[in-house]
Amino acid sequence: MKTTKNTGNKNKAQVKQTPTKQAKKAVSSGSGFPLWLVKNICAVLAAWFFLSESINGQHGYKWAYHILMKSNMAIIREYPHLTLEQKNAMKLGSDYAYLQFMKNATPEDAVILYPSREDFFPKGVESPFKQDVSNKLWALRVLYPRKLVTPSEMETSRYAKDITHVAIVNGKGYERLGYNVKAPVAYAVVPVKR
Amino acid sequence: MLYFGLFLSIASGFAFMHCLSVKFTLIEKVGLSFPLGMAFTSFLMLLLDQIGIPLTPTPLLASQTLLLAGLCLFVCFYRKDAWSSLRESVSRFSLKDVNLVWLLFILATVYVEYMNFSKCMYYPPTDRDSLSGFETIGYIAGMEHTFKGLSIFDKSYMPGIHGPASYITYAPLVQLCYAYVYSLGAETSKIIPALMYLFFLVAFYGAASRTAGRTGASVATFFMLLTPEMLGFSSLSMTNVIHAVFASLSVIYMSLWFQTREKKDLLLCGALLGGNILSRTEGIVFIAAVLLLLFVDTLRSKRYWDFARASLWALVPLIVWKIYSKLNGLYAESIAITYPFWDAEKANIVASYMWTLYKHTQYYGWTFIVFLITFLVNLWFLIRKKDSLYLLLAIGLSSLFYIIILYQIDYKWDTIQNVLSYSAKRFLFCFVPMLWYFSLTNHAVSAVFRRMEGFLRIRD
Repeated sequence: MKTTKNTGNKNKAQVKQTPTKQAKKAVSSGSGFPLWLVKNICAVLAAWFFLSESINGQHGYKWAYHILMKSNMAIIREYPHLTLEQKNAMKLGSDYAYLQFMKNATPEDAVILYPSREDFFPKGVESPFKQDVSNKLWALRVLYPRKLVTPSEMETSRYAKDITHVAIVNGKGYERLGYNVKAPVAYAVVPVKR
Repeated sequence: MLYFGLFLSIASGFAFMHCLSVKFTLIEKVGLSFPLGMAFTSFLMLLLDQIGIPLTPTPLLASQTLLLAGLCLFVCFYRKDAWSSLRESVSRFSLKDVNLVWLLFILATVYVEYMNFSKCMYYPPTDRDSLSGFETIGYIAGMEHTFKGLSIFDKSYMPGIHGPASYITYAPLVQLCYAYVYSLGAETSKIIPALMYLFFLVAFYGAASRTAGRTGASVATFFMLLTPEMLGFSSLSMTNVIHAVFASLSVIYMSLWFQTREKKDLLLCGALLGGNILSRTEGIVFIAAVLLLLFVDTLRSKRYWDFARASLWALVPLIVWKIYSKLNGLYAESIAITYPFWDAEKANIVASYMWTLYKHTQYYGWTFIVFLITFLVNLWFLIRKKDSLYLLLAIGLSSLFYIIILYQIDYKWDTIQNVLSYSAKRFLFCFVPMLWYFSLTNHAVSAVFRRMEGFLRIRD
């Protein structure tokens, strides 16, 4: 025992305490279950109850845990091997599909006459686009290194004279071409030169 | 190459922690290694870019290696007990000091953070603000190997680039971190927010456990992590949570300085304030609040040199960024009203929106409620013993400065209602860790947790 190694007053005090400690230990571990473990189990049960009540009872935590975390983990487990393009399409929908189509249809050094906000979201017509696709910087994240020029920048942009393609959206943009297209479609990217 | 680059950044941050002091706990050193490492990386990139060195992998990795070598040499010569302190930190951990409640909250934190980290890494950046700002700037900087000469900073290509609230004036830390990983071959930038939040949790736990013990720290870390809106934004490529990491930790270390008067905490506070201002421009509110409190304290303690050193760490990144912006024409039309004025309607709008946010439990969970309750519980100690006074003053002053900034903004690019509804809620992320830190470490609550730890201690 440790107490036998101690000396002096400390030793006396500890010798006095030893029977009490041993008695306590005997009580607590009478069934082979130390007191600290009993205390810890009681405390952890209380903490578990508090934790689960917090997560399930408070609406913000409930949303964070069940919707934000668990639901997303379910998606991750269901589709673990999606490519970056597929994930982008999943999150950005038709906005990304349109940009990806444009990216695949043009060379990297293309200068594209990019539709205006009004072309993407015509008044009184429901647009298939839900994101910020009309924002030039937003679109550049997909289309870079291609250069984009919007109709309002035709007077000021240094690339206005170098436009190689015109993007068509909701059937708008053909008027910006120098020639007539025989079978116009709603979504396309058309070279400036026939 | 990407992992090597990240390793260099983390190792630099870890070495820097040793340069400040070997007395930090191992958890603090690990937790702060990534945020500080990335702050150094972005600062280094600014300097390289300014002197005309392209931000390609070779110069980036070479400069990082040099920085790490310099920091290691400093540690070797001036912190000779670094290795022994590391070994001591590892050997000091004992299972007898922990309990099952601590274990439960640590496991819960690990589980939620595992899901959050997985979510962050799984989805590419798709939120609007990232794609029309930080993410795209970082991506293009990674492709063009420059920051000052970015094609999207050219007025003849982007005519609105110098308009009000333009992205050209955004503080550069996050964009440069993204440029760093894109330069090194990353597919997306998400490794940065993912690691930042992970390391932040470790750092917060480390700082909190210094004052209130492990069990309390584990509880506070879990609830801080689970703060709904902050958790949601922590896996996006936006700057708000990354800014909150630097801002909140700087205030926490200021509080630790007032508590312990150990120089290492003061210097770390200064370095974190520097990272804070490189993350978001409105970080100036924390610099103003913290330096004001430190200055007032310095007037009494006469420790001018300590104050000067902390101020230097905080202000040098700001000054360098301002000079860099000036030299390279990174400016935009101001959105600040720089003279005092009174507009009762505007003041009412700001006040009512902020009040709504403070009460918003869907966004912030129990953060503000727990803060209020623990504030009232600790009031006696606050009045009699000035317990956590400086922490509360820093929180109060920076909140006030934030509200003043919101009031002084000229909302010409967006409506005040939009900014207060969608942006101001993110500004409050900085305060979430501070409030949880106060709620845990004030005298009354930390005493309860300490007593509980003694009660639950594993015996021989």
